[in-house]
Amino acid sequence: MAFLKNKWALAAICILCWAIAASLLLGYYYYQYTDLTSRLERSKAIINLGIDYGNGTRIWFNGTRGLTLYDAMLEAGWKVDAESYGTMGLYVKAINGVEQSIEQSRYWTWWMWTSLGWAHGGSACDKYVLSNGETILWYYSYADPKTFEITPPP
Amino acid sequence: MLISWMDYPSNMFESRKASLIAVTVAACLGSNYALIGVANFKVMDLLVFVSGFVFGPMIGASVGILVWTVYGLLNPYGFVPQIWIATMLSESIYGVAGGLLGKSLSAVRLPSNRAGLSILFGATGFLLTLTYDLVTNIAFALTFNVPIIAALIAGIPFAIIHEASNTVLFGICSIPLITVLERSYRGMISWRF
Repeated sequence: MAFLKNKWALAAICILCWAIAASLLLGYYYYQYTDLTSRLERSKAIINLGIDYGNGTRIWFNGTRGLTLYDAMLEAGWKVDAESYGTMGLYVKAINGVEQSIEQSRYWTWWMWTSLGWAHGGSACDKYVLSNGETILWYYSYADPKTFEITPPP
Repeated sequence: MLISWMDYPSNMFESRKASLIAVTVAACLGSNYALIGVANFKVMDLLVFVSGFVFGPMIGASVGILVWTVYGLLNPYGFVPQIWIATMLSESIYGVAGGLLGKSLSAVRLPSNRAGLSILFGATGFLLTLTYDLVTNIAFALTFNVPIIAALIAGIPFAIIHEASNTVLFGICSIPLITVLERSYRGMISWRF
């Protein structure tokens, strides 16, 4: 049992045990991660997503998938410039290069189609969890500078 | 008696050895029931290993099997025959490994190699527990028709706690326990099957 005096042999034993334990934990967390991502992928909703630039151009991206509205916007390939307000969520300042304009009082707002017409979204896009079959439109709205009333999409 | 016969054919009725097994088994059972609320932390594995180290692999294996014979039958978590058999056989691995290690270390003076031996015992505890968890998790998967890989992966956090606690216990407590037992049972200890 000369190896009991050999520091390298003892260190090798310790490293072997550590490597086995680390590999086990790695396998466990990898499994947990892949399981979670596959569940999230399955739970993504399919919606009809549209964008209206307020100049008569309206483009639809039907069948877009996402967990939240923000996910769906990215999934549709939009370039979104947003600022985070912590727990309140993201405030969208520009979509596909079209920025909000304080001078012209035009802002990006999102609207959901209901039986009564377009209804204002009311929450940050990354906080809104999508449901299957929803129709959502991003609209470059005009907001009245005095009353802050937002014009709904036509 | 059968166990004594296997270990020491010439001394079939040696009562001290039978009582030794009984006392070790009782200590294992007592510690198991005392620690019933602490998941995956058991002193039993160490006691089985040390009994094998000091008294030989057959006695070690016997202690492991006998402990689980009782603890598996009278277990508050329930009784499943397949898992019971798997744990009985897996527990005996501690005793056999302890016996084989004791035999190969018979010329080594424990106090003079304390650091090296502590690491060796700790690593042995880790690897034996890994084997034990592997076997029992596979038995669980086969018994309840769970995919083996899923059962092994799901059992990893519990296995890690079990292995870490046994590594520490084996590394720290083996040498003092073996030293005490060797003093107490001087003359009875023999490094043979």
